[in-house]
Amino acid sequence: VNALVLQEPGRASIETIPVPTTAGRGVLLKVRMVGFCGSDLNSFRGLNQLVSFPRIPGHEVSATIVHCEGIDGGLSVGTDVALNPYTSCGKCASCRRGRSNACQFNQTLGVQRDGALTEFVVMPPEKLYPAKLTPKELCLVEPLTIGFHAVARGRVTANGGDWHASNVSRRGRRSGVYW
Amino acid sequence: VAFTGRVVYIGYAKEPVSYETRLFVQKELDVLGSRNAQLEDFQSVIKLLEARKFPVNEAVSLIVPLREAAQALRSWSEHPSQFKKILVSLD
Repeated sequence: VNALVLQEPGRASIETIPVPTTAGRGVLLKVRMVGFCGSDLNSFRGLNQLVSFPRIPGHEVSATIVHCEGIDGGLSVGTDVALNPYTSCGKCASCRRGRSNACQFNQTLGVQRDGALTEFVVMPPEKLYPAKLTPKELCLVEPLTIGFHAVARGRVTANGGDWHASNVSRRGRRSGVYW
Repeated sequence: VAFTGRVVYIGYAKEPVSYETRLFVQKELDVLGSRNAQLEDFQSVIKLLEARKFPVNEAVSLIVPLREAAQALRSWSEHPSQFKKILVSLD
Protein backbone atom coordinates (compact mmCIF):
# COMPACT_ATOMS: atom_id res chain seq x y z
CA VAL A 1 0.00 0.00 0.00
CA ASN A 2 1.07 3.61 -0.47
CA ALA A 3 2.30 5.86 2.31
CA LEU A 4 3.69 9.38 2.63
CA VAL A 5 7.18 9.10 4.14
CA LEU A 6 9.28 11.92 5.56
CA GLN A 7 12.72 10.64 4.58
CA GLU A 8 14.60 13.47 6.24
CA PRO A 9 13.98 17.17 6.87
CA GLY A 10 12.75 18.79 3.66
CA ARG A 11 12.25 15.52 1.76
CA ALA A 12 8.92 13.69 1.55
CA SER A 13 7.89 11.01 -0.94
CA ILE A 14 5.22 8.40 -1.62
CA GLU A 15 6.51 4.89 -0.88
CA THR A 16 5.09 1.37 -0.96
CA ILE A 17 4.89 -0.38 2.41
CA PRO A 18 3.42 -3.76 3.47
CA VAL A 19 -0.26 -4.00 4.45
CA PRO A 20 -0.32 -4.07 8.29
CA THR A 21 -1.37 -7.32 9.89
CA THR A 22 -3.91 -7.47 12.70
CA ALA A 23 -2.63 -10.67 14.33
CA GLY A 24 -3.23 -10.07 18.00
CA ARG A 25 -2.74 -6.34 17.57
CA GLY A 26 -6.16 -4.82 17.12
CA VAL A 27 -8.55 -3.42 14.57
CA LEU A 28 -7.72 -2.99 10.88
CA LEU A 29 -8.78 0.40 9.57
CA LYS A 30 -9.06 1.86 6.09
CA VAL A 31 -7.74 5.39 6.40
CA ARG A 32 -10.13 7.82 4.69
CA MET A 33 -8.64 11.23 5.34
CA VAL A 34 -5.78 12.69 7.40
CA GLY A 35 -5.15 16.28 8.47
CA PHE A 36 -1.71 17.86 8.51
CA CYS A 37 -0.82 19.24 11.95
CA GLY A 38 1.63 22.04 12.68
CA SER A 39 3.83 19.36 14.21
CA ASP A 40 3.89 17.54 10.84
CA LEU A 41 5.08 20.79 9.25
CA ASN A 42 7.74 21.15 11.94
CA SER A 43 8.84 17.55 11.31
CA PHE A 44 9.11 18.31 7.58
CA ARG A 45 11.14 21.42 8.39
CA GLY A 46 13.43 19.54 10.80
CA LEU A 47 12.20 21.61 13.76
CA ASN A 48 10.33 18.87 15.68
CA GLN A 49 12.72 17.58 18.32
CA LEU A 50 10.46 14.62 19.15
CA VAL A 51 10.51 13.05 15.67
CA SER A 52 12.98 10.61 14.10
CA PHE A 53 13.38 9.74 10.40
CA PRO A 54 12.25 8.10 8.20
CA ARG A 55 8.73 8.63 9.51
CA ILE A 56 5.17 8.29 8.15
CA PRO A 57 3.38 11.37 9.54
CA GLY A 58 -0.30 11.79 10.37
CA HIS A 59 -2.27 11.70 13.60
CA GLU A 60 -5.46 13.63 12.72
CA VAL A 61 -7.35 10.69 11.28
CA SER A 62 -10.66 9.68 9.78
CA ALA A 63 -10.96 5.94 9.23
CA THR A 64 -13.43 3.11 8.65
CA ILE A 65 -13.27 -0.28 10.38
CA VAL A 66 -12.60 -3.07 7.87
CA HIS A 67 -11.67 -5.95 10.19
CA CYS A 68 -12.40 -6.36 13.90
CA GLU A 69 -13.10 -10.07 14.23
CA GLY A 70 -12.34 -11.41 17.68
CA ILE A 71 -11.95 -7.93 19.18
CA ASP A 72 -14.00 -6.97 22.23
CA GLY A 73 -15.42 -3.47 22.36
CA GLY A 74 -18.69 -3.59 20.44
CA LEU A 75 -17.16 -2.39 17.19
CA SER A 76 -18.43 -3.42 13.78
CA VAL A 77 -17.15 -3.41 10.22
CA GLY A 78 -18.10 -0.27 8.31
CA THR A 79 -18.13 2.03 11.33
CA ASP A 80 -16.47 5.41 10.85
CA VAL A 81 -14.11 6.44 13.64
CA ALA A 82 -11.77 9.13 14.88
CA LEU A 83 -8.52 7.97 16.49
CA ASN A 84 -6.77 8.73 19.74
CA PRO A 85 -3.17 8.89 18.47
CA TYR A 86 -1.40 8.67 21.84
CA THR A 87 -0.09 5.80 23.95
CA SER A 88 0.31 5.59 27.72
CA CYS A 89 2.44 3.30 29.86
CA GLY A 90 0.08 3.17 32.85
CA LYS A 91 3.02 3.34 35.26
CA CYS A 92 4.65 6.77 35.11
CA ALA A 93 3.74 9.66 37.43
CA SER A 94 1.31 11.16 34.90
CA CYS A 95 -0.50 7.88 34.27
CA ARG A 96 -0.74 7.11 37.98
CA ARG A 97 -2.38 10.52 38.50
CA GLY A 98 -4.99 9.85 35.81
CA ARG A 99 -3.31 12.14 33.31
CA SER A 100 -2.25 9.61 30.71
CA ASN A 101 -2.38 12.33 28.04
CA ALA A 102 0.92 13.51 29.54
CA CYS A 103 2.47 10.04 29.76
CA GLN A 104 6.24 10.27 30.11
CA PHE A 105 6.61 7.55 27.48
CA ASN A 106 3.82 8.65 25.12
CA GLN A 107 4.31 7.78 21.46
CA THR A 108 2.13 9.87 19.18
CA LEU A 109 1.24 8.51 15.74
CA GLY A 110 3.50 10.08 13.15
CA VAL A 111 5.95 11.47 15.69
CA GLN A 112 7.66 8.80 17.80
CA ARG A 113 6.09 5.99 15.71
CA ASP A 114 4.73 5.73 12.17
CA GLY A 115 1.44 7.52 11.62
CA ALA A 116 -1.66 7.25 9.48
CA LEU A 117 -0.72 8.81 6.14
CA THR A 118 -1.07 5.42 4.56
CA GLU A 119 -4.00 3.38 3.28
CA PHE A 120 -4.43 0.97 6.21
CA VAL A 121 -3.48 1.08 9.90
CA VAL A 122 -4.02 -1.23 12.89
CA MET A 123 -5.13 0.29 16.19
CA PRO A 124 -6.20 -1.03 19.60
CA PRO A 125 -10.01 -0.87 19.94
CA GLU A 126 -9.88 1.49 22.94
CA LYS A 127 -8.22 4.14 20.77
CA LEU A 128 -11.20 4.31 18.37
CA TYR A 129 -14.10 6.74 18.75
CA PRO A 130 -17.11 5.95 16.54
CA ALA A 131 -19.00 9.06 15.49
CA LYS A 132 -21.73 10.07 13.04
CA LEU A 133 -19.45 12.47 11.21
CA THR A 134 -18.08 12.93 7.70
CA PRO A 135 -14.43 12.07 6.98
CA LYS A 136 -13.62 15.79 6.94
CA GLU A 137 -15.23 16.30 10.35
CA LEU A 138 -13.56 13.22 11.84
CA CYS A 139 -10.16 14.67 10.90
CA LEU A 140 -10.91 17.76 12.98
CA VAL A 141 -11.69 15.82 16.17
CA GLU A 142 -8.12 15.40 17.40
CA PRO A 143 -6.91 18.96 16.67
CA LEU A 144 -9.98 20.42 18.39
CA THR A 145 -9.39 18.28 21.49
CA ILE A 146 -6.06 20.05 22.04
CA GLY A 147 -7.87 23.35 22.57
CA PHE A 148 -10.58 21.73 24.69
CA HIS A 149 -7.95 20.22 26.96
CA ALA A 150 -6.07 23.54 27.27
CA VAL A 151 -9.33 25.28 28.20
CA ALA A 152 -9.94 22.64 30.86
CA ARG A 153 -6.39 23.10 32.15
CA GLY A 154 -7.02 26.84 32.45
CA ARG A 155 -10.37 26.21 34.19
CA VAL A 156 -12.03 28.65 31.78
CA THR A 157 -15.72 29.38 32.34
CA ALA A 158 -18.25 31.11 30.11
CA ASN A 159 -19.02 33.78 32.70
CA GLY A 160 -15.60 34.16 34.31
CA GLY A 161 -16.98 32.66 37.48
CA ASP A 162 -15.52 30.18 39.89
CA TRP A 163 -14.47 27.21 37.79
CA HIS A 164 -14.04 25.03 40.81
CA ALA A 165 -17.57 25.60 42.08
CA SER A 166 -19.22 25.20 38.69
CA ASN A 167 -17.24 22.27 37.37
CA VAL A 168 -15.90 20.21 40.17
CA SER A 169 -18.92 17.98 40.22
CA ARG A 170 -19.49 17.80 36.46
CA ARG A 171 -15.83 17.14 35.67
CA GLY A 172 -14.98 15.72 39.05
CA ARG A 173 -12.99 12.88 37.63
CA ARG A 174 -10.41 15.22 36.25
CA SER A 175 -10.78 18.18 38.58
CA GLY A 176 -8.72 16.74 41.39
CA VAL A 177 -5.60 16.57 39.30
CA TYR A 178 -5.47 20.27 38.55
CA TRP A 179 -4.48 21.59 41.94
CA VAL B 1 -2.38 38.44 33.31
CA ALA B 2 -4.67 39.23 36.26
CA PHE B 3 -3.56 38.87 39.85
CA THR B 4 -4.03 35.20 40.83
CA GLY B 5 -4.58 34.50 37.12
CA ARG B 6 -3.78 31.40 35.08
CA VAL B 7 -1.44 30.92 32.10
CA VAL B 8 -1.69 27.80 29.93
CA TYR B 9 1.16 26.88 27.57
CA ILE B 10 0.09 24.94 24.48
CA GLY B 11 2.40 23.80 21.69
CA TYR B 12 6.18 23.56 21.75
CA ALA B 13 8.22 26.78 21.65
CA LYS B 14 11.14 26.48 19.24
CA GLU B 15 13.36 28.80 21.30
CA PRO B 16 13.84 29.30 25.05
CA VAL B 17 11.71 32.13 26.50
CA SER B 18 12.80 34.29 29.44
CA TYR B 19 10.50 35.97 31.96
CA GLU B 20 10.43 38.53 34.77
CA THR B 21 9.48 35.89 37.34
CA ARG B 22 8.88 38.57 40.00
CA LEU B 23 5.41 38.93 38.48
CA PHE B 24 4.70 35.20 38.89
CA VAL B 25 5.26 35.63 42.61
CA GLN B 26 3.66 39.05 43.00
CA LYS B 27 0.49 37.95 41.20
CA GLU B 28 0.65 34.40 42.53
CA LEU B 29 0.06 33.04 39.03
CA ASP B 30 -0.74 29.47 38.07
CA VAL B 31 1.50 28.60 35.10
CA LEU B 32 0.35 25.38 33.44
CA GLY B 33 1.37 23.18 30.54
CA SER B 34 -1.21 21.50 28.33
CA ARG B 35 -0.38 18.46 26.26
CA ASN B 36 -2.50 16.25 24.00
CA ALA B 37 -6.02 15.58 25.34
CA GLN B 38 -8.11 13.30 27.51
CA LEU B 39 -11.03 10.98 26.73
CA GLU B 40 -13.52 13.64 27.86
CA ASP B 41 -12.10 16.09 25.32
CA PHE B 42 -12.66 13.61 22.48
CA GLN B 43 -16.23 13.03 23.68
CA SER B 44 -16.92 16.77 23.95
CA VAL B 45 -15.52 17.55 20.51
CA ILE B 46 -17.45 14.71 18.85
CA LYS B 47 -20.62 16.05 20.47
CA LEU B 48 -19.85 19.57 19.23
CA LEU B 49 -19.22 18.36 15.67
CA GLU B 50 -22.25 16.06 15.62
CA ALA B 51 -24.36 19.08 16.64
CA ARG B 52 -22.90 20.88 13.58
CA LYS B 53 -21.80 23.75 15.83
CA PHE B 54 -18.32 24.08 14.38
CA PRO B 55 -17.57 25.83 11.04
CA VAL B 56 -15.83 22.83 9.45
CA ASN B 57 -15.67 24.22 5.91
CA GLU B 58 -14.13 27.49 7.10
CA ALA B 59 -11.40 25.62 8.96
CA VAL B 60 -10.28 23.55 5.96
CA SER B 61 -8.49 25.33 3.12
CA LEU B 62 -7.27 22.45 0.97
CA ILE B 63 -8.01 18.75 0.34
CA VAL B 64 -5.48 16.82 -1.76
CA PRO B 65 -5.11 13.15 -2.77
CA LEU B 66 -2.20 11.17 -1.25
CA ARG B 67 -0.11 11.49 -4.43
CA GLU B 68 -0.11 15.28 -3.95
CA ALA B 69 0.53 15.23 -0.18
CA ALA B 70 4.30 15.81 -0.41
CA GLN B 71 3.77 18.80 -2.67
CA ALA B 72 1.11 20.16 -0.30
CA LEU B 73 3.60 19.91 2.57
CA ARG B 74 6.21 21.79 0.54
CA SER B 75 3.70 24.50 -0.40
CA TRP B 76 2.60 24.87 3.22
CA SER B 77 6.22 25.14 4.35
CA GLU B 78 6.95 27.82 1.75
CA HIS B 79 3.74 29.82 2.24
CA PRO B 80 2.39 29.00 5.72
CA SER B 81 0.10 32.02 5.90
CA GLN B 82 -1.81 30.90 2.78
CA PHE B 83 -3.21 27.76 4.40
CA LYS B 84 -5.51 26.79 7.22
CA LYS B 85 -6.12 23.05 7.68
CA ILE B 86 -4.82 20.82 4.87
CA LEU B 87 -6.48 17.39 4.56
CA VAL B 88 -5.18 14.42 2.59
CA SER B 89 -7.80 12.12 1.08
CA LEU B 90 -6.97 8.42 0.81
CA ASP B 91 -10.29 7.28 -0.67
